[in-house]
Amino acid sequence: MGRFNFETYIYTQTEQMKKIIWMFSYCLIAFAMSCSNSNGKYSKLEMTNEEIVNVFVQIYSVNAANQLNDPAVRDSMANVYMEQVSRITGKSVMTIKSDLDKLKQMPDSLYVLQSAALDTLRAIYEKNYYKTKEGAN
Amino acid sequence: MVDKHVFIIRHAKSSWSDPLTTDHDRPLDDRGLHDAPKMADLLKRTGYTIDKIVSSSANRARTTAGFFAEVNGQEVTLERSLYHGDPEDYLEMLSLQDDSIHNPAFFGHNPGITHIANIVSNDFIDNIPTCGILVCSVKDGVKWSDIQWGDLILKHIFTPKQNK
Repeated sequence: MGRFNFETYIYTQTEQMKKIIWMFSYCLIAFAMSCSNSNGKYSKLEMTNEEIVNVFVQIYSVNAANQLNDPAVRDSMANVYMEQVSRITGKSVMTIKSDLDKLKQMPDSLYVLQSAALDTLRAIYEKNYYKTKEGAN
Repeated sequence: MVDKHVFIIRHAKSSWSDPLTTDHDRPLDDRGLHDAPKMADLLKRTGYTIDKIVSSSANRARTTAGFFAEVNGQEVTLERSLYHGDPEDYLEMLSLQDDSIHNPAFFGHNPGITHIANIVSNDFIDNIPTCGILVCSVKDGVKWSDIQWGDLILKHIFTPKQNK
């Protein structure tokens, strides 16, 4: 039987204690993060990803259209266009604004959805371009 | 006279997990990969067969179409115009079909497919979910080259939720 070594015993116990503290801290952080996700700034979006992409496509289009307006009427026209986006997408202005606000706090998701919207716009543009070209020929 | 049907099918649920994948190349996610073969089976079990498959060129649509192709022993024809196609694009695709085809299926995307559902039904349809299937019968004697939306009668809407 080996001799009991008090120093080794203390060292082992300290290491185990450190592990337990680490595990506990990790669980605490995970718990805190899950609470903030369910109640706070990362609350769930009302629209699906596809619906948000469609909203972005419409908003990008009306933004481009609004640039053609006289600067003096752009703000009021933005409201008119927003109503049209709401009508086209079937989502209320409040839902759209609320989800876009939430998305500002979710940069990764925002990036993915904006990229999808730009891909969509590109596809629509290409399709219309070729249709116009075929029509002209 | 042989009954004609048209199937318009929205792609199954797609993945958004890879921010570097373009919208066109996004794959199906786990739920999509689960739903698509089940819906292909459901259509077959209900007694419908597909004799032509045309799909949007997007990965999520052509993967969905692949499951239906397998069940029906068909090939998938890709059509770029169905990627973000509007109802006009689908009608154009329909009008190009050969009259030897009786039951073509078209795989595409929203909002176009929900828009079509509203055209062919008398009700307001808020949304056709992913992997939702519109089954329409075609009025007797109508040739594909002459087809209009008014020639289609909505018979069923199948969704993965009903198929659980």
